[in-house]
Amino acid sequence: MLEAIDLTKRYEDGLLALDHLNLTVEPGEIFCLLGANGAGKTTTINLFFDFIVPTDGSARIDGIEVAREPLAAKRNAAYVSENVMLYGNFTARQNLDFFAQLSGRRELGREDYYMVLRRVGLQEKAFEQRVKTFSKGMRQKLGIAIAIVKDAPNVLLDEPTAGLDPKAAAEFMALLGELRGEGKTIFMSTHDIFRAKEHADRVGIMKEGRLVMVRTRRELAEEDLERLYLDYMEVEAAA
Amino acid sequence: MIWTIARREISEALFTGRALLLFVIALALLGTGLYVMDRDYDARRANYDVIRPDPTQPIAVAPPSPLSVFARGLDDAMGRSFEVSVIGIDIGGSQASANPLFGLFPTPDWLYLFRVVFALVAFLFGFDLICGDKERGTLKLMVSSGASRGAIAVGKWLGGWLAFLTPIALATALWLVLARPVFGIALRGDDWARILAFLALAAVYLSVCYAIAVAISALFHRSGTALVAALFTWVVVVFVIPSFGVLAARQIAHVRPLALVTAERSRIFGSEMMRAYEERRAGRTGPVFQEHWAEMHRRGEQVSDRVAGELGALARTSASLVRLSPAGAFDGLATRMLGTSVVDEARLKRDVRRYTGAILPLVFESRNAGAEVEYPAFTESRATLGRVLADGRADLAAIVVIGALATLVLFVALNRYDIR
Amino acid sequence: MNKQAAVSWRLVAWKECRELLVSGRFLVVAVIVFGLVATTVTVLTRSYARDLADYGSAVADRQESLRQHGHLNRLGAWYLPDRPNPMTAVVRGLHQNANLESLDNDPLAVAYPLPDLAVVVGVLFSLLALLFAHDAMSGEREDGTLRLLVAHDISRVSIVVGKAVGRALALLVPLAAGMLTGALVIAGSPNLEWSASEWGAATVLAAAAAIYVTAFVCLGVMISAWTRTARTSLVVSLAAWAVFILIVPALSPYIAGELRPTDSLTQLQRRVRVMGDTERDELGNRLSREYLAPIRERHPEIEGFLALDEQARRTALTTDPRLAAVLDTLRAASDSAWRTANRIQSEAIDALWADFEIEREAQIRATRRLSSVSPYPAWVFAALDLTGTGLRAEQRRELQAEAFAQTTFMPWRRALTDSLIAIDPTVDWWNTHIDLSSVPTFSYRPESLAGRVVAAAPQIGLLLLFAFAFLAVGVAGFNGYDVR
Repeated sequence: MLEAIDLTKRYEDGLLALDHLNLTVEPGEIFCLLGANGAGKTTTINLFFDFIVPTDGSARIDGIEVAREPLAAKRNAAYVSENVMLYGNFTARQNLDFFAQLSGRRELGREDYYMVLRRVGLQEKAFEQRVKTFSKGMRQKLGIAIAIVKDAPNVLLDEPTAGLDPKAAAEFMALLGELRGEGKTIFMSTHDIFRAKEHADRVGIMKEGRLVMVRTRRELAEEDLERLYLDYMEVEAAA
Repeated sequence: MIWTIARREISEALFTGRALLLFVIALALLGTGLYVMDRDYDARRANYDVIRPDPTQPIAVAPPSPLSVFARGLDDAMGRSFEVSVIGIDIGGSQASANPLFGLFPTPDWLYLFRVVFALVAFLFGFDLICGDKERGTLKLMVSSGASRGAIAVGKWLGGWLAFLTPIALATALWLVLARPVFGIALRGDDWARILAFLALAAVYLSVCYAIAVAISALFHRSGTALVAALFTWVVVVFVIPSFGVLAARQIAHVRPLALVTAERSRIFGSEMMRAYEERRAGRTGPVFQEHWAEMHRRGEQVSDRVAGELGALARTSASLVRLSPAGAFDGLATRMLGTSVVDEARLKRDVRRYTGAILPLVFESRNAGAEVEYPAFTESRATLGRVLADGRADLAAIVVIGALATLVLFVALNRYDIR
Repeated sequence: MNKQAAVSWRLVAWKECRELLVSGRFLVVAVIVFGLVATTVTVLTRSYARDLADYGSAVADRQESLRQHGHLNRLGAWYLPDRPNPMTAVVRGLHQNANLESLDNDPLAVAYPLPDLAVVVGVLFSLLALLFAHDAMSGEREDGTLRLLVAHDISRVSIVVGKAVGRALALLVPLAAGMLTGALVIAGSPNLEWSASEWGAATVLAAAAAIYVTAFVCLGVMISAWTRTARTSLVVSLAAWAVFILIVPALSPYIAGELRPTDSLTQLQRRVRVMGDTERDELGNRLSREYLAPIRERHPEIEGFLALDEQARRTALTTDPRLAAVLDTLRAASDSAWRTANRIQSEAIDALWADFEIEREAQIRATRRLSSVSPYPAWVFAALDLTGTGLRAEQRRELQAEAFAQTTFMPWRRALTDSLIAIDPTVDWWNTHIDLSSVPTFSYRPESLAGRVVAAAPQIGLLLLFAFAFLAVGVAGFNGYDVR
């Protein structure tokens, strides 16, 4: 479970990147966070992984406060960054192996890694290829494979489908659905309104650091998400 | 177009603080060098004042030159005193300082700083000029916006060159102005000409190093690899070629080991003295000892001739080989400009031998009469700056040729460079 | 540190090491490191072989000369240089063969001194280590992989330590390879024989070099943990190298000279020369006259004898045996006078030197203390002490030489002169040709391995301290590091 309680981040230059975010994401749920660039989506994720510290409030992973016990908290969450970058001179399997061991999974063998790589849809011949030859899509798949191997109860993704072709994006979302089925908590920030509407259990819209709207899937079925989004954005433009 | 590209390079160096940091580093290093070498000069000057002869002493000693503050070179060797005695030449003042730790670490005189450290800076500022931009994606942009590859090469080269040379030049100029008020280093007219010639040469040398680095940046696609290639080149240019040049020269131009030369001199001394004593015991009268002393000098001169010939051949061979590297050529010509080179030391020794020949009769006379005699003062000859420059054409040409080659490589490589 | 954390830094170290070993950067650095170590040792070994051959020739030449032209009064002219130290095959030490006391010195040896491991490791490998490690953090940040690393259950301390260890290991591989090759060159050289003690010292030297290089890797990682971009790390690393290698070591003796000045050595040398020469002669002559005067008064007949030449003296002695006794008395008195003169002047000279030594020692101590701010002098001092090419060995040698002079040489010379005088008291044996090829020669006994290691231990400890200190500051910097 992921909890943000009055989570606030103000940078040294005065910019209020996140303004008292209150949010809970339950296990077995996909939560998509929409918003313009600079709205605070990436800041939220950064706060959950102790890349930055909150100015006020707290972020909690399975009840553990991140700022107070970062290592314990990170043990329970997997991170997939926007534009996954890995060690270019290592192969896909070697990267996977390194991060698996770092996550404490030391019992896995080559076949186990291959199984995960197959599951995420990476071509067989890429398993032992150096990552620096990979396309963006291949790297994203490897990123989620790393998260799967970690087998953490929470998965946070920062714009994971940005720049992917439609087929790859669809496969990716299907994978997230499987993970949700396993009872994991999925939190992702995205610009992709359509996939958000299709796969998310709940959708939130962030504007200038504030969570201005949250709708469940059922509520969204009746409304036009795109128009909602643009409305919220236009309010800002008019003001 | 070229100037636009150049200006961007300069701005980036300024905004990222690299130019300022380089200025600070250069200021600190050049200042340390001046301080250290000036103290050294003061110590040598004090030594000179102690061993300086009055007219009744048959001693040849050359005063230290303020130019040695900038390039130590062989200044220790040239500051020795050479006392002409009846039996030979005594060396004095060979250990200039009490603290043996002075010679243990590299002396950061200006010559070392330009030859080694600022050359490294040149390499570190130029190695990613092309490949860095490729990695950032901005090279594509430049080419697609209509700039020819030639213009890019010239513009970036020019901008980067100004960005790295200007802070160093400013720091140098500042210290030149402050040298007198802060350290009391007083230079005469001819000295100034030599310093300026030295600095001009240094600027050419650094530019050539920079050109080599930029050529490297156009030969690689990743700045990580270009960095080590640049470092490797710096090591080869500054250390490996000069050292190996000298080593190879020693294989080609053999010099008799010092121990054997010293042994020969001892033998001459011993045999002549023995013969003198024996002749005296046998009853010979007259200036027996004086004859043998004169003979000692004559035979000693033959040894000196031979040694000078061998060392001269070695120096010439070594200079030719060392010249293959811009650092070696720079070092050779710079030390000659500042008067502390191997050539200058050889000239001093020739002057000493000439002086010895001139005053030897007086030395004998003084010994015989048991009275003091007035000796003419020792004067050392110096090569004029014009002469040094004329003789140094080969060194200058060597530096410039390498620079031209590097620039050629840059243009060729950039034309075939994969900018994607 | 819990078990996972302990595993984590090892994981990071191994990853770092493997990543570097397969990169092009490593290949070039490995070639430089291996190449420089191997060639330096090869060149120095050959130079040692030449020095040894020269030494052999000098010894043979000297023996010949002593046999053919030897006479006691000028025995000092046949100065025998020390047998070359076999460890100069790796480290040259304080005296770079400048030979400035000779008229025939080779200036090229000063202008282009031979490189040795102390300089190659100290000056070049420190730079290489810095440039190898300067982008440990900033590089990974720019590559984008640092985020994922930090997003795991791994402390920042583990990351810093793991990276430092990994990079150091990668660099130590070619260093070890180079050293091993050097060892093979030395073992295979027909002219170079190292004792077990020397091999031991070389092993400790190699370990010290490894620690030194590691310290600079830690410095590079430290710089990286405080800078955001690799380009900035590069320039800061260059500045750090300039400060540690050029500025601090160069400045220390001069600042020490300000804090603990000594009298001018040249002036002292000149003073001592006069005292030992002219003044001693004057004193000796004066004392001689003093001591001899009463004897000559008592035996006026000796005046006539003294005016004769050698041949006539011999004749006179056979005719009047009493003269021999008087002559003996005179000689004893003269000897006594000269011994007294020598003693007085020696004591005065010794006093001057002793005062000077105290000042000099103070300055040297101050220099070492000031220069301990940088790891480079610590490495150099350790290298010199381990190879027996530094001040310590020099002082040891001086003491041994003095002891030799007192216990072996002087008695030999006295015995020889006594025996010669017993043969024929009329001859001026000091200026007569004698076969002196049996003169006892001094040979230096190098310090034991244990002694050398103990001497070098504080410097090696200092290097370890630097490594840990740099690492600690790196951890501090990385704790606040923005990994995005």
